[in-house]
Amino acid sequence: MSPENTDPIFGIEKLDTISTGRMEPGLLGLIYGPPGTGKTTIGSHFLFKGASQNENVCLLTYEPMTLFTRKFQRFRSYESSWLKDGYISIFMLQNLMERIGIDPYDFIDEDLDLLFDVMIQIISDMDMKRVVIDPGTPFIDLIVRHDKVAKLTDLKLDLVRLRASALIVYDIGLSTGSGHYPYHIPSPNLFDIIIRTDLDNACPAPVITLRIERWKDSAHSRNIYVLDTSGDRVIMAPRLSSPGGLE
Amino acid sequence: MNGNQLSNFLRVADEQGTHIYVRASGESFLRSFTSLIEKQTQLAKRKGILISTLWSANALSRRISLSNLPKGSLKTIDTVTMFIGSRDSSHPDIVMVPSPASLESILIEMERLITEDKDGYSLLIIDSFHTLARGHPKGVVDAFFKYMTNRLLEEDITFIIFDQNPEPDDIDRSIISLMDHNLDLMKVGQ
Repeated sequence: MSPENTDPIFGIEKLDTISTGRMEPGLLGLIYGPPGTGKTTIGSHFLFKGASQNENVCLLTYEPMTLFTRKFQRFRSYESSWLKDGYISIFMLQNLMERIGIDPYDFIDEDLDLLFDVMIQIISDMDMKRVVIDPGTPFIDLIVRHDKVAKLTDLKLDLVRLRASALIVYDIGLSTGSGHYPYHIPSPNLFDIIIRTDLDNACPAPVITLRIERWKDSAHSRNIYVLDTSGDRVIMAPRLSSPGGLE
Repeated sequence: MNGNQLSNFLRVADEQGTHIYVRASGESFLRSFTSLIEKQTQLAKRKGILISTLWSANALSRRISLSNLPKGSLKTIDTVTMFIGSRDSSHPDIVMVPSPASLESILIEMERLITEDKDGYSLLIIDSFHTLARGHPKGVVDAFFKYMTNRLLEEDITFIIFDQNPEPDDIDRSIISLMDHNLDLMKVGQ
């Protein structure tokens, strides 16, 4: 990471501490895990951190906008003026595809190229500094199905050029494939950050766990942490029984 | 326990950021526990967190008049109510976790409280070390207390652990080694 970039990435104190990573333009991250394990919350905080620094940030999604705005409002680090003032923009990928004439049910190779071009155009025209694709599962599935993994390399190069960063939220429950990483992402090395979230149905209380699997150029912690996103802030604590943890 | 032992304990507990392991049971525990909470919240005006592993919030209020304590002065992480399926207390100063064995849930709630009110809490009390430790491997208990002692030292919070076990075992000894004071209120005249 370049020494001039000292901004934490997520604005989630413990996550930024254990990652030791700092914001760098061109950063491409992946958060994956089953539904309901805090992936969207982490992605949202990635956007909040950018908006709090007066950066333009955007969310590309297949899901209704209100689902996200309602979720955003739950967190104390969110300010509703960010949406009104245009610091946070939300784009519906479905609408975007319709507008550029892509039939999602009859997707051809060229459509994927077109979709990437439009995304890069949005990032460039609106000077977006942080982008979250959530859920990014259909997006990744399309890339894999059309054998276009190289598109992620192109995306990374474009992000570097535009001094922007992107985070893909991959819900393995939504996957149409085997549902298991790394089946869908044959080149994890393309990602600067890979975070895995999971649900551990431990007794007496099930817990959500988080592990940083990859953080390029950073001596990050490889321990497993417990994640709580139920309140208005993200709280993390060590997974006590994790091998290599504090025990 | 005699009066000197109790006043010595209460005096040591006044030290900001100190960590104390207290062996006490029966009457000595009840007296030292209730005196500590009443003194610290009412006289010293400190804000504290109690991890209650012995009594549900409703049962606890029979031991200590929670309603007589200054409002917001004692947040209780209640590990018993959900465990025994007792009547829910809707008191705003009570936070419930599923069971005393839910060590990670306890850590999460402790983190939530101390980060929410960074300069607010200056005292954390665990009423029974062995109730928390029961059933967990030594490594897990060590990790739990290592995390707690570190976080509480970082935040300069006084940490008081009560234990009703008459003789220290391996786990006790490893916890005691992390504490500033080790007081035995079971032995008369110490």
